[in-house]
Amino acid sequence: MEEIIEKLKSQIIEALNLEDLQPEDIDPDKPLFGAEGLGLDSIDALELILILERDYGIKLSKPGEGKEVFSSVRTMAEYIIAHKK
Amino acid sequence: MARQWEGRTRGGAFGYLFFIRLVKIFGLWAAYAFLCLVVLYFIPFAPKRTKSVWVYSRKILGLSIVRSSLAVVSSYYAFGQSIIDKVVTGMGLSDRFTYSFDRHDLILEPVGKKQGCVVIGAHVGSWQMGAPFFGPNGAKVNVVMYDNEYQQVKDVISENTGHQQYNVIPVKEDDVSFLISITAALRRGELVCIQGDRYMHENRVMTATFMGREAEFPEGPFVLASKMKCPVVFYFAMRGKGRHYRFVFRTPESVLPYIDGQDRKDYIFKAYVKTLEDIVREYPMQWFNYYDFWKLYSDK
Repeated sequence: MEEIIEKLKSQIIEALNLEDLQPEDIDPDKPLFGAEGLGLDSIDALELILILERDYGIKLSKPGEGKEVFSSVRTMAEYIIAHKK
Repeated sequence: MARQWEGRTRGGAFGYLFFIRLVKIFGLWAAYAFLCLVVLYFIPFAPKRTKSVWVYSRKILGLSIVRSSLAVVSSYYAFGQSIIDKVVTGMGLSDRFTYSFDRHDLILEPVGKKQGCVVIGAHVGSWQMGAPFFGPNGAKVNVVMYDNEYQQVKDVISENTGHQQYNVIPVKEDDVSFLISITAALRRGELVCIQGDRYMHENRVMTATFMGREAEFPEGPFVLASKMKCPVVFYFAMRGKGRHYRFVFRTPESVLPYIDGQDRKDYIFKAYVKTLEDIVREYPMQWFNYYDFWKLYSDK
């Protein structure tokens, strides 16, 4: 789990060009969206979907899963562990 | 004062319902005739929108005061007509109009190959007029709409015009679910239609010189089009003389040459703006963004 979390942090920083951030700056339990957490928006969310597709072979198809999967880096990692092919 | 689109369109459910009834009971010409009265009402009673058309006519089109006055009438009439026409088409009466297709091959190719395609339009003309023609070609169509706009009209339209010819993907402010719907639809080889000329948040915009002035466009549709690496088609349905609609299709490649190393998002955006400008110059009265699109007066 922790390994995937660290990998995800680096992938998010790279994909979203968050050059000011280091992986250790991202709290895996804080929200990805909104001012309380990483402050990502819906355009960034597209990159997160593509990270799951491209790097983990996971194609999301149920819209209802969005909120749960992308709550935090940890929820993303949990989803990856449960669904990785 | 709000400088961007507020997420809803005036008239909404009541306007749709009224014109649906009028067409059903009295026919298409009655609806057009009544529209003249509606236009006269809107000019004084929708001052913000009237001002936007006036400024568009004077500063963007460079029309005289007299011609700008006529432009306000023409613009509102064309807008009303576009609503009536799409309602009539939704009622299954698309044979009341004639149609022509400009570069139809550009959309038929990805449809035929079931490649999944991002279709970018704008608030010009009446894109829904083309909906009956996508189905017979085997395309499943998804239309991305802001939630406010969608909720306002969906029940009225579906109750009165039979089944919709496309699936709506509503965009919600606080939820990224719509992106999963979009990516899944593209992976299934379907069309995803999105408007490239309105945004809700000022922090995600792209700027370009459009119709001679700097203007802002939403970044989202162009990020989507570039990241998904699927075909991109610009689509507009413009009303011609008589009851005629011309469906215009363009790809970025058919508009501008791609320069090696150019950012794909920027390339698609530039091609879109050029295509949209060509369309608006040809059909200036079918520009239906009734707010301060160029930010010419809102902050003053």
